[in-house]
Amino acid sequence: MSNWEIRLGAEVLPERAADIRAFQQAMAARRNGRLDERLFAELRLRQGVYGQRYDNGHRHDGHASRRIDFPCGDVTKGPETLWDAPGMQRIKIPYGGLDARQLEVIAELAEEYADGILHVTTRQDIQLHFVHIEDTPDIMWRLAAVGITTKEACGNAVRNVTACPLAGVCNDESFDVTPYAEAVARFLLGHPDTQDFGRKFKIAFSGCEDHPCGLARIHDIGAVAKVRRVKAGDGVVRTERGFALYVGGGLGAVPHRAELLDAFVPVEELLPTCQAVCRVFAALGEKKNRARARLKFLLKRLGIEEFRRLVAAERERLPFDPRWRTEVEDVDPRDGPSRPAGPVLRVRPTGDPDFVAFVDRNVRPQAQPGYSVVTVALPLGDLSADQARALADLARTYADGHLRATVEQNFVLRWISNADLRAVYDDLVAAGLAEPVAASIVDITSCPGTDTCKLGISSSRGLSATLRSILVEEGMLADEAVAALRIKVSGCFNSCGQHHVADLGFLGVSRNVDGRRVPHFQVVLGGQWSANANATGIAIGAVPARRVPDVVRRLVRAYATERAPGETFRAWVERLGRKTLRERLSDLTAVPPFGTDPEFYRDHLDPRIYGIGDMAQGECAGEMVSVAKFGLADADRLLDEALDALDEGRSADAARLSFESLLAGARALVRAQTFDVPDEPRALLCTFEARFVATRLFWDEHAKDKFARYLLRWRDRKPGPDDAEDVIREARLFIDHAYRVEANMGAMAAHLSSEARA
Amino acid sequence: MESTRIDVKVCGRFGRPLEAFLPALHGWVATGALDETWVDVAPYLHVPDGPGIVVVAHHALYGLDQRDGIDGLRYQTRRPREPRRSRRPLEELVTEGIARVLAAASDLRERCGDDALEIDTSRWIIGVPDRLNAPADDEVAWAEGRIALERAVSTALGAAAVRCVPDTDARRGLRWRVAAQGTVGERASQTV
Repeated sequence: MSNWEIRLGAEVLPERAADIRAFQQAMAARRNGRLDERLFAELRLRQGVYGQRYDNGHRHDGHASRRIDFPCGDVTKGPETLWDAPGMQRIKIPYGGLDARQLEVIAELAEEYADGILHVTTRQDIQLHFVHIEDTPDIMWRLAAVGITTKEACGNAVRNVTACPLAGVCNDESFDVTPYAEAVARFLLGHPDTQDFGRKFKIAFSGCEDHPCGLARIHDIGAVAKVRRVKAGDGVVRTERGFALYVGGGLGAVPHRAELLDAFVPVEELLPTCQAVCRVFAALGEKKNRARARLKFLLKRLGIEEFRRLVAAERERLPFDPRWRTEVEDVDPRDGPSRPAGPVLRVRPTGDPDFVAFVDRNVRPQAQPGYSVVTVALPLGDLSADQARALADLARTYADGHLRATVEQNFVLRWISNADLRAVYDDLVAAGLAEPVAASIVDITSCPGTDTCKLGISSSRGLSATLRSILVEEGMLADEAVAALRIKVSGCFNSCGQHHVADLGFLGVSRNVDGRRVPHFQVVLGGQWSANANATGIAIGAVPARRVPDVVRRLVRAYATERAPGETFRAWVERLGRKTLRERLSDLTAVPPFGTDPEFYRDHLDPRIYGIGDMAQGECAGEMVSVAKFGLADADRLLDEALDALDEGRSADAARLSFESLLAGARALVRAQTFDVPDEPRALLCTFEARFVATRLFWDEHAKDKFARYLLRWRDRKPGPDDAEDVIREARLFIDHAYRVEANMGAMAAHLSSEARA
Repeated sequence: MESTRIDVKVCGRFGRPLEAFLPALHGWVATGALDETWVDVAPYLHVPDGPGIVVVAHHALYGLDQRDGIDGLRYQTRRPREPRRSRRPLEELVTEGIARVLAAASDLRERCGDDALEIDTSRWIIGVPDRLNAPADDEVAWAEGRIALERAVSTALGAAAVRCVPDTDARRGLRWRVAAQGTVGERASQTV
């Protein structure tokens, strides 16, 4: 038991406490070599414990690859991932909403276990980097004590559910989507129907069709709020809330725009419809080829009509769940005013030009008169622990104690009385957080890239930092049409920086010049950020990383001078076309010889000679581990607990835990065959008998059905303390045989699949 | 008083932009300097009054630090050097921290030139980022921590007098601004 568990365990919800304890046990089992590294990798990913660059124990210093001699030796926490290597802890923040105390706790964790920085991601998560795995359970206990989970932050699971950060205060929304985003996040967290995905699954909520805040069109499920008028039986016309549900969107190497599944899903159908989509994905989605395992590929294979039919059929089959309704009943706003409303902002403030610029860029009037949303623009999504505490203070003083992270890697403070704007600005200045650049060309979005990501090809953060400085120095905010453009940078084709939907997008690639690697960026122009990221840009060609600032200067100046009145950047790009744009940039593609200018052979903010030797297997895809293997690992864990209990003389606990272990083993196998696994032990045993004993799937050549009988003899009564030793012994044999059955089932499925393909 | 972690910063002034230190810090990693198992260099030049550049080793973080609006060289423990002794007396941790940060300063000046980094060994900021063992809401912890700091700084630097002023924001954990007066100047310049 960790010391933080002792201190905080009582403050943590029982189910979360059980999760963390199970993870601690899995860590111990992995350290002792009793748990397979792939299985452990997926287990830790599902707790948000992610790998980081150099975690294979090698780092290129510009001349040669050097070994990092971690004390752990060859103990791993995943394939080619050393136990001692620092990693990243991803912290889920549903809809980006958190309160002041939660932010303070994350700041404390950043100081104690990471490098003092909180990083806001493009999915409204917060990440801590350079974290040792041994510290992760303490991080989880401390987060859980303030109501935050890291569960399913990574891995093949439903990731953080995102939502428009202006939800509830936006002038253009149909209604506040916050409670619904929260309901979906809560309902699907750890849900049995979401445990057998071939890849990650992303859900986003938007309050309207037009703005980009929700990015519904690039998600596996994008929900856009709708209101319709319906005539009830009494003849009275009422408004009804619902969602237009889009499915199968995604970026990555092959971007797909989500397609409309249903133009209006009433709110009480939101959860079952999402559940049905998850079931179809789990049942039919690709499991072996990770590159084609996202929902978008399944949708492409089936077509939207067939997918819609399958979802509807699955919806019909779903066993009723009262939470479908109860989870969406509480639609009260999650935050509100704490200070009296100020004057309505009709005219720009005058006086201090820095304050005026801040109001122009970072302040947006709310739907509620007298209040505004203040955007705190974070360079590269980073803030220090001290800045986080300053923000927490601001939230407490002026914003009802709440704030929200945004997909543009910023924070927003809502419900700021207009009378307090100057005071808020002054406090932000003191914290170094008042840059007047929100939602502008300077407010660049970037994934971690080669700084920490194993898949990074070029330094997206280095380029973003360089561009940010240059654009401010060169006064790019002066022309409003230019200032409103968005730049987004991804370090590799996985597109975490969302470059496809930016006006100017950059994607890290590498090129060979005279036998040397040179960092490059693919230029992608004219993506549509608005209308929920409705369209992707066109690839123009790759330019050396060093030339990207020149590319931006040239394109932006051309657009500023050549655009027709009212012409958007996207329209300008379409008018010029790929060929013309490529010609205009052609002179910027040249790379001088190394002897002439070695700087071209280095990446931004990295003095090492560039190479791609540090790339390694990424973990964004998670490990493909069958749902049965997960269940069997859980059975193993329970059996370990039973043995501990027996050793400590707690026979009743030992009997209970070993029986639970048997049930977990049976449940794991049944779940591999069907979604609908009975909870009640007797029903579960009957199902197991019908599916595995009667069919002789659970059969041993010599022992025949002996191992199954170890389980089935408990159909009518539960084992007592006197049975403990026997049940433990039998459970061991049962689970070992269950592993063999699971392997046979996998081999059979593979054989049938290859026959079907043939 | 025992703790798992210490954060020791010697205040000073950087004689050039932080970016100019990057090659030297990558040099630490490449050459295995300072007897550390190095992992990587993390630049946070874009974060005002932030951790500056963090150099990550297995057991510790080093950094060209700008927190509190003060330039300085920093050392923070990360993992225990002796696994069986994850908690150590605070005095011992501070003494080791001071030695390591001074060694790092010496190495950096060798690599970058004497004018690249000025350090003032009479000014330190020392924190205990270990809220479990050193909670900031515990008056005894503050008192014991101060005594440990005074002893360690006095011994390590030969200071005649040591004054510890606690941080006003308890959310930052136990943390003091430390002034070491007396013979510290001569001792420090010899060390560095």
